[in-house]
This record gives sequence, structure tokens and C-alpha cells, in this order.
Amino acid sequence: MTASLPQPLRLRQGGLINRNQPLTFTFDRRVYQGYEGDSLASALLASGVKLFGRSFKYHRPRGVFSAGPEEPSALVEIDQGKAERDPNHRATMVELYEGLETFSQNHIGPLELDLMEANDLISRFLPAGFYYKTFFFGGLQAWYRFYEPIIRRAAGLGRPPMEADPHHYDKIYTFADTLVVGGGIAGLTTALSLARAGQSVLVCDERDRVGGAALWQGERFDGQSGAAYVDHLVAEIEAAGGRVLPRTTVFGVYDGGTYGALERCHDHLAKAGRRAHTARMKYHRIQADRVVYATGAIERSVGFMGNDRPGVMLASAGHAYLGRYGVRVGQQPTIFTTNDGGYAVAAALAATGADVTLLDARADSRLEAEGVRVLRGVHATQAHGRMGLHRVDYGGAQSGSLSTDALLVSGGWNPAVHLTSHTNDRRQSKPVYDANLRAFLPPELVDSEAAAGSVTGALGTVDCLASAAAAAAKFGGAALDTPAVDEAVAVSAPKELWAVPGAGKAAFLDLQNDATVKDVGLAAQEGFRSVEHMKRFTTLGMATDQGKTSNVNGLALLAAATGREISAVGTTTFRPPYTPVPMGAFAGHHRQRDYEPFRYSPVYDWAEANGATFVEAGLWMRPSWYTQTGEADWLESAVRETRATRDQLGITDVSTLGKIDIQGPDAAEFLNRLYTNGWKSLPVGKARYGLMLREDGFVFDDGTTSRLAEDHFYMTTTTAKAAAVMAHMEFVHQSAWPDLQVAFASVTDQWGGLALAGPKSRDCLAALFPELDVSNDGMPFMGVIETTWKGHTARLFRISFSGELAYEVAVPADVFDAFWREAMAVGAQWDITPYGLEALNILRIEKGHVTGGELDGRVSMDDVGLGKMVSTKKDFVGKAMSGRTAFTDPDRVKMIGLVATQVDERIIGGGIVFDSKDGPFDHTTMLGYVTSVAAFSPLKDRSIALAFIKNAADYHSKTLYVVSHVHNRAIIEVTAESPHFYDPKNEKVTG
Amino acid sequence: MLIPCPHCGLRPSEEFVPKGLAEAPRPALGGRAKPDGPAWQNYLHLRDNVADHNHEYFHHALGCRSWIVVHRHTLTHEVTGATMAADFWKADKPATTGTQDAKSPAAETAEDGQ
Ligand SMILES: [Zn+2]
Repeated sequence: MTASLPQPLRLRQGGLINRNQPLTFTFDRRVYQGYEGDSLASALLASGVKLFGRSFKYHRPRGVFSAGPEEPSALVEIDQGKAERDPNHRATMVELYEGLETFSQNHIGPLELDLMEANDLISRFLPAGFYYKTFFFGGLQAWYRFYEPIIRRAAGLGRPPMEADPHHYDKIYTFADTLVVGGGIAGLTTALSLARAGQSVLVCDERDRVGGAALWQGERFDGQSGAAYVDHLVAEIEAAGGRVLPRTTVFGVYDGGTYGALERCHDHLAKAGRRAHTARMKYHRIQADRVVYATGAIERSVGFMGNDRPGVMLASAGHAYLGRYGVRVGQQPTIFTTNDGGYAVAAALAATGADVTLLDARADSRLEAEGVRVLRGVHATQAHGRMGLHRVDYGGAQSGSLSTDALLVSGGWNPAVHLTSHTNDRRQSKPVYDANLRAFLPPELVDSEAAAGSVTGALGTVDCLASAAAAAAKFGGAALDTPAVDEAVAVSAPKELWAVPGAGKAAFLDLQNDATVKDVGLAAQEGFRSVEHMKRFTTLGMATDQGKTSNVNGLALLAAATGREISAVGTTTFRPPYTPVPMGAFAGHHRQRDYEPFRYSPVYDWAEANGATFVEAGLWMRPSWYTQTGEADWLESAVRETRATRDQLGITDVSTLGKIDIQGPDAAEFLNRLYTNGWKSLPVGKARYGLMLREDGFVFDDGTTSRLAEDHFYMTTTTAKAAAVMAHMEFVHQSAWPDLQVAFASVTDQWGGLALAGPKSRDCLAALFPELDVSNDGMPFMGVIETTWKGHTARLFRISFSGELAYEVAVPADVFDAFWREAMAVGAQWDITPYGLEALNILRIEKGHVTGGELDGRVSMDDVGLGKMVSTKKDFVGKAMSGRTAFTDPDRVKMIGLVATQVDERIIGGGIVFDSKDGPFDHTTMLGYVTSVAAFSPLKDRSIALAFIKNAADYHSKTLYVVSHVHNRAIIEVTAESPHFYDPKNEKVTG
Repeated sequence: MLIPCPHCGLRPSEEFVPKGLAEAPRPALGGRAKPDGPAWQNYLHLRDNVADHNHEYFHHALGCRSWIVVHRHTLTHEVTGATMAADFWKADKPATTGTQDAKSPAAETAEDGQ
């Protein structure tokens, strides 16, 4: 089988592609063919495509610049569809599959005729810093209305998907003794040595095929091809128990031997071959004792005019397309190099019959390449060809112009030091500039780190193998025989050349953000000496490629422009991720309904079947109200539930309250220190309301705690604070009073609880527990009885949150549903009415009970009218600080009740309280704020609220005004009164 | 980051909740210390926040529920040891490997409640 569509730049032989498996794909809806093993970039190049996209700022036509993850230019969208569309993929990293759909980015109209190209023509108006300066004409309004929309449309990369990502992502913990980052020859050799020494070794390589440059450089190892030798190494590593993960990018190094890695599992498979419900990507959280950075090096370019034209690329990229993919990027290629490395690709291209010219920036080089015309002491000055390179001008020792269809540039190599700096930066240990190699090398590595291969600055395969042996030796690796390297590629440090003389505006450094040589000069002129400031002023290195091919040229030019050494300028800070990571990979399965776990009461199913509408309360799903036939809205249901409870009998689920079981000889003493009030005198069989402060004196939480035995208490907390109270108790016990003999455990999930409230609640309780005396004498207010229900422990508490005669009953969670249903059946004779959180809220606001709305971390005991609950005879958490002077400030806001004057006006939660309706309604006149609102109180026949205001005592019975600035700013007239609207003498609960 | 819980061993930091620096013990019970006096101010508010090794409270909330005191370098994040909070303020507390000595608990409590 052969491909039927033309691939004019594909050679008849060579490369690691499977020529028996042609693949059909589209780019901008045109159909092309490539082979299995191709990248999108190699297949398009083979098909003669030069133009891949448009640049970010100037919309200049751009081609492909590299053959790897460093690619700045050839960014494409994959797939179509609002959810599937995935922008900014590097064409060099996209693996070809049958049916792949790709699209160019950042143009309006056809790619060849981008209407935004005018940006390029007026680019003399858009130098670095232009945005910061120009658009302040007209002020902020002009920016929002005029400049920003235009710039947003003009400057950009791909379009984001508009619907939720449909893919699955997994997170996985991965462990190894030693992590090897990079599966080139150096990484694999180090890994084999360590695996043979018995270490658990994991090799991660970001490419689809491990091997690095050995796959295309043409060198032979012990007589084998690079690809064959790589296969041999991988097989040996796996035989020794090691693992090799291709398509896995280690993107970040974190503290304590933690590494982030992204494994791409799906994106290379034809869609039919992707198994449903399997992960598109896996985020590995790798834990490793040691790491070997074998991350390689990234070639850099040289600044000259037109060095961004389609057809200009890195020399190593031209070599890789030839060696790995059998693609000859030009029939008449020109190499422009500052070092020996350019000769290898020149010779390899000449060997295919191409007409090759090499421009060597060095006058004193004596190297030759077979079949290659070499001009020495010469540099490229300008590349021509808007849609595809056709000519290059050169200057220096001689000047002239060459007809050419590909210009391969090598300005030297930058070791990929990114990962070596992620944590070392914090040790003030930055990459070090080596003036001989003209490269930044890794910072000083710690004991658990080693580096191997060209990241160490090693030039050439022989040196890389030596560095691998050294890295292996550092970690106790086994000795290996070093392979003979035949046909070794010539290498050298480059001549120092960051930009050619005369390079300016159209001499690009950062191809993705369109930052030029001139921009760096401007930054220096403007006084930006710090490389971090230059970066932000020019945006050099701030695009999705993070300047992998441009940063070092930029900082070297800044050094020259400010008269400093390169080492004095230094690099910008390297931070994770090394290459972009989709947010979905970090989220994994923790999204949408699986974002957090849900907690369900044992009677959730019952409530759902009986018309409950639920609300999320923390992780809990709590019934908000129960809709009955004919009810128009939530308020109608909640008011009916409130009335039924006040008049007859209500039942509500209180299973979500925090419950803590406290035992031990010092349990009472411990409670004495936790709560503001005293606990030692509480008799067995009694409950008490308790208030907890934070150590800084502010109210923390409240609840009732019951004494079940001398050394056994049962505490309840609010639903919201249950976890925080538990952690707080653990903290004070362990950090302050570890000698107290007390133990406690959360039993929230072990008990289900219901409250019976209303005049008939005693009758209902008596019917549920006929053998018990629950009369006012047998079970007085705050009485507690531990008994059984059908053989299960049941705890009865006479406590009230609603202000009615009320009881709470707790039974083990697994029988709670049955108990609830029995209570419903028994209570039917009194028309028992289940009520939800909304009715509960109305009931407790009418009673003036505080909850989270009031206890918001800013109130003192006195502010909420609980100042009397302080025992002066003992110390407790927060006691000292509750005497802080701020709490006695007469201007302090205190709780008060508000009643709407008009029957049909609703007080707004969060509204601000004023004492005049004339305004201004701002901080100068504000008295306080509303914390809780009952949209309708049956008791008052209108809306009521709890609020905090200054001089609260002075405003009783006075008219006040509530204004919500975030609502409709309507002025609601209210009357202030005691917050205890209902039964202020507590006759209902105690009777 | 990994944190060496004295009870559970080396565990990932996601299992822990930090609270802040452990620079002073809680003032003794029953003391007559004023809220604006040095003992309470030291305990609640005053933190040196040095760019160096620090003692920090962590709660092993998703583990054994112990409160521990971790010895950590705030620049490098290097963790060199941990002690149970229950032992940390005791005069005869066990040594934490590789850590500097904490402030003397005895000296801190002496200023309060005498
Ligand atoms: Zn633990």
C-alpha cells in the first residue's frame, strides 16, 4: 500500500516511518496523506506545505521552526466541535492518525490572505511597550470600549473550546527509586546502569518514540543504527525491571522528590481506537528518591531580518525531518551556522542529492562537508519570501544573495536546564553561564540529583555517554561497556552571535509573541536592566512556548545593550510547567458532580420521594423545603411548614449536625476549658447549651452537649463547623493540654437524628417510646434519656432550636430511616409535617437563635447577646482575649431584630442599615448590616431579619431603613426590636 | 512536599493542614495575663517569619489526626524533622532529627500567670 496524494518533499527511502501504513488527514479542510510514525509537521512538510499559521501580534505568515516540543510557530487547532476543539497544539508534537482534523490559527479569512496582516504593515507603530503606553489615551473607558476589543480580535492564538471538555483524565501516584527525565542515549544509558544495580528506575520521555537525536543523527553504535541501539537499551532496561514511558512529559519538579508528569494516552490513536471511558491523559504524581536530568539541549537561532519566514528553521529540525521522517525540507537548502554542528545536516542533505550551501559565521573554521559549498566568515542578513522562503542575502567577509528554499540555522545549543532550576531557584542557585560553551548550564545539583547528556553542556555523543557514566556512578549504578560511536557528528561550541549586525525590527527572537531584536534594544533604552523586567516589557518568552528558542538570545542581547556580562544578567526564573498541561489533567475526575464528595443523610431517599428540594450545605445535601401539590414557590411551602410546626407538630432531619463523642476521666475538665460556661456541675442525664470562642476571643461555634455518664459526653456542633471544631479540639488538647485524660471521636456519620417540634411533640415522643415517662417532670427541659428503640440505642434530648416544645432523638444511622418512617406514621394523627432548612430558618430567626450568618468570625459573645454565658471561675479558650478593649467599644455593632413596616416588602439579606431615608447611603451614615432574613414570618405576618447595628440598645422601637446596594437599592422601612421575637420568656420550650 | 509524621511516617503534604508557626506555647491556665500583655501577644500574634528553618504546626487531618510540629526551611521547603505537638512544649521533649532547638518552653511560660 502506498499513499496516493503527493508528498513532493518525501524521499523514497529513509526515516522511521511505516511506509506500508499511509494515513489520511486534513489541514484547514484540505486532505493530505502521511505515514504512520509521522508528526503533523513532518507530514505537512512532506506534502509541500510551508505556511502553518499566523503570528500572535503582527499576523505574519509562519511555518514550522523546530521538530520538537520547543516549537514556537506551528500551532494548530485539533478537532472541531464546540467541546472537542483543542487549540495551540504544536504541529511537531501532534502524531498523525487516520482521520486527524487540524486547523491553522489566528487569521481572519483564508490563511494565505489574512485580513489582519495589516498589523504587520503598521508594525512600526507596535513596538514593545506600545500597549502599555498608547492605549492610555482616552482613559480606561476608551480602553474597554475601543482598544481592548480590537486588540483581543487582532492578537491571539487559537480559539478555546466553548463547552466542557468531554475527555476523561486520570491522576496516578507513581513511585521509583530513580526518575530519569529524558530517553535519549544518555538517559537510557544511565537508566540501564541504575536498573542493573537493582534500583527501580522510571524513564519518562516526552516524545512518541524514545531515543532523542540518536533516531535521526545518523551515528552508529557498535555497528547498529541509532534506532536499533535505542531499542536494545529499552529492552535491556525493561529486562532489568525498569520502566520506560514514552509520550510522558515531566513538567515540574517539586519539593521532597515529587515530580509532575503528563502522559498522553489517547491523542495519537485514531478515534475508533480510543476505548471509551479510558483516560486521554494521565497526570502522574511521581515520588522518587533520586532524579537524573537527561533533558537534552534545544538549538537556538540567530537574529537576522526575516528569520521568521516560512522555510527558515533550526538546523537540527532539518536534520530530524530528514533522518526521522524521510522529509527533505528543501532541494536547494542553505545552512547558516555558528558552530560545527551545522555541517552534519549539510552533509546529510547533500548525500540525498540536494544542492547545499553552508554559511559559516566563523572565518577560521576549516571543516568541510562532502558535496557542500561552504562560505566562511559569512552570516545571513535577510531571508525573503512572505509565504515561503526563496532567497537569502548574506554579508560579512563577502556579501551576496542565494536562491534557496530552506534556511537551516544553528546559533548553538541551550541545555534544557528548566527542570534543574524549578526547586534549585529557591536555594538561590540559578543556571550558570559558561562563557566557553556560550551556554547556561544547570545550577549546582543536590545529592539526590544528577544530570546526563547534553543538558550538562556535553557536546557530542561520546561526551554525552561519559556524562551518563558519571551520573550513574553518583547513584551507584552498575558498570556498563561503552559502545563505539561510529560516524560521529562533528560538534563544537559556537561563535558568539546572538543577532547579526544590522538586525532590527523584523529580526525575530520570540516567534510566538513576535518579540524582536529591536524590542530588546528598546527595553534597554527604557531603562529595563533586569532580565525579568525586559521579559515583561517585550513579552519575550511569555507565550505558550515560554521562549525555549528565544530567551537566551534575548538576555544575551540585553547584556550587550546594557554593557554587562551575560552571567551578570542571568536567566529569568524557570517555573513549572515545562510545556503546557491541560487543566483537565490537574482536575482528573474531580469535576462537575465529582468535584467533591456529597454527603447524604440516611433519610435522603425518603425526603427525595416526598417532594424535598435540596440545598448544598457544605458537602451535605439538606432538604430545603417539601413541595406539596398546589404550592407556587418555596416560600409558600416553607411558611406552611413553619405554621404546622408552631400549631401542631413538625419533624426535621438534624443528622447533619456535627457529633463528637467525648470520654475519659478529664472529659468534664476538657469541656470546661473548651466552652465559655461551666460543665463540671452538669448532672448525668442533662444537656447544656455551650458557646466556644476562638483563642483570640471571637465566637467560634455553639451547640448542646449532654452528659451520658460521669466520664462520657455527647457534643453537637453546627453542620458547617463540625470539622473545624474537631480540629480545634484536637489542637488545644494536643498542643496545650496533652496531659488531660480525654479521648474524642467524630460520630457524625454514626448517628441519625430528628427533631420533633411543636405543641404535639411530647405526645408523639410518648407514642414512639410508650414505656418512658416523657412528661415535664419525667423529662424536663434539657433532660436527656438514653434508652432503646426496637433493640437499638436511642438518645432522647429535650432541646429546642425552633422555640417550640421540642425533642431531638438520635438512633444509629443504619436504623434511622426506619425510625424516621415510624415517627411519620405515629405522628400522622397530629398531622406531622416534615420541614426543611427554610422553615427551620424562619423558626430560629423568630426565636432569635444565631447561626453561621451571625457567628461569622467577627462577633464577640456580647455582640450576640450571650455575654452572660461566661464563667468567671475558670479559664477557657479565648477567655483572656475576650477582655480585649475592642469588645467594649461603644461603636461596636450588636445584634438586633428588624421587622418590615410594609406587609409586602421583603428585607434583603446583606442589606445595609441606616437611620435616615435621606441618604447618603454609604459608610459615613451606615449603622450596620443585615445577617439573616426570613422572607416571611407567620408570627409577624411580614418579613423579619436579624441585623448588627451600632448603639443597638438606643434603636429599640425606632424606625430604620435597609438598603441593598447589590440588589435594587430600594429603601425598606423597618422597625427595630429585640431579636427574640417569639416567646421571649421561653415558656413554650420549658412548659 | 513530604512531611514525616512521627506516627505515620513520610506522607504527602496534601494530607496535612498547616496552622502557622509554633513559636510560643499557650500561656498557662489560670494566669492573670492581660490580653494585651506579652504572653498572649506572643502566643497569638507575634511571629518572626524568618527566611530560615521554622517550627510549624501541621494537622495530619487526612491521616492519624495528630497535630505535629514540623521543622521546615521557608525558602527551600526542606523538611528536617517533626515532633508530636503533644511533646513539643515539654521540657524533656524528644529530639527532632536535625532540627535546631525550639525556644525554651519553660522561659515562655514563666512570664505568664505568676
Ligand atoms: Zn499521622
